[in-house]
Amino acid sequence: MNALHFGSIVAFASATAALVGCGNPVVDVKVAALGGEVLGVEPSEFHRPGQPCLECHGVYGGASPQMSIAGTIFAAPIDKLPTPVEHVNIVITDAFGNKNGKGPTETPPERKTNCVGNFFFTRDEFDPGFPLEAKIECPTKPGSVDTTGRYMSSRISREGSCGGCHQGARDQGSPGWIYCVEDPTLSPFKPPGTECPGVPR
Amino acid sequence: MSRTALLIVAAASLMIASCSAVDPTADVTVTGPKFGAQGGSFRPISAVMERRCGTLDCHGSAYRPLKIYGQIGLRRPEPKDSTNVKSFKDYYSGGPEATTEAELFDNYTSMIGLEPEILGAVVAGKELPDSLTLVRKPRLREKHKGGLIWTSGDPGDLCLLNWLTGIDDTTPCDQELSHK
Repeated sequence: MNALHFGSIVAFASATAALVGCGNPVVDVKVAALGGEVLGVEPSEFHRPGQPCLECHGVYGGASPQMSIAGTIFAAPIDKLPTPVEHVNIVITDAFGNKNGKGPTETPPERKTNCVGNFFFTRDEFDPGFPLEAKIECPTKPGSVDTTGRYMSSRISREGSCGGCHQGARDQGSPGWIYCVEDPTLSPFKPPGTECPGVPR
Repeated sequence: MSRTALLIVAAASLMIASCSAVDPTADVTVTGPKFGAQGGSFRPISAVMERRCGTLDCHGSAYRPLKIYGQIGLRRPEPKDSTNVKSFKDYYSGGPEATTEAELFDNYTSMIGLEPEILGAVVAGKELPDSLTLVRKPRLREKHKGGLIWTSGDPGDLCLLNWLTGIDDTTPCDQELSHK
């Protein structure tokens, strides 16, 4: 075997090893733990409420569309997957003062949750500079134009998925689901009907 | 003996020699910066670290070498009968229970435990503060996944430096916390 041939083999082997080594087992395990689709709900903007969207719709996951910020807003903080809230307006301000992808002096476009409480920004719409400030404007009752604003108490330092931190019941490691009403008994919001594509048929 | 075998023997000898140079029984005493009674001296510094570094998606994670606990981030794991917590129902990430003294102490040990010998030298005035990775990373003078947190001379930076160098003025900490 001459030196050139041996060098080619080493280069090929190295390149192959590098490609194989590109996987991220930490993210792979997280994605696998999310499980499969709910029967009767197609993959769409209405699927998987409450899950960390960017595990799949991020740079590594590669699912289309690629998202920068995404999450789900619920009615009240309860342990099981709570009732989602539709028409919540999301306002994300980045480190440069851009709001929802528009400059500091422009009117930020509305970004409302759908019937399963999901919202997202694609990376083309808004590629924010971290850290971020997050505000939600919840309708005071279903269909109302009056809103109640709630600010996130800390900054978002790097995580684009709300569900990356806001997951399940409140405990020592999570603030719990993002919600509109503190007291579940006072929530005016009802679960979505079967007309919502996120509800299994 | 082949050349490769010689190299392996030489390398192994060097490793053994270098390992045996460490005295496993040696203790080094390091004097850290102030913690204060019930963590009073450290609380303003911890508050800045909690807000700027300790979010759940950064150093508010159990898996980070610099782990920061606090009211708006990760809470220190405590059993329900823990006397460290005033109200367990309020003791959750983002909950009303203020950062506890136990959390303050864990934050303190986490910060001084990164580079204890260098930190001791900084506290003793024998090294400059920017010899610490704790000072360089938020300035982005060293690779930092969280990016630039503050630049040299900013309130957050001064808050940390005052604490490390024994200056009792915590005004810069308050200024840093007053930022949105």
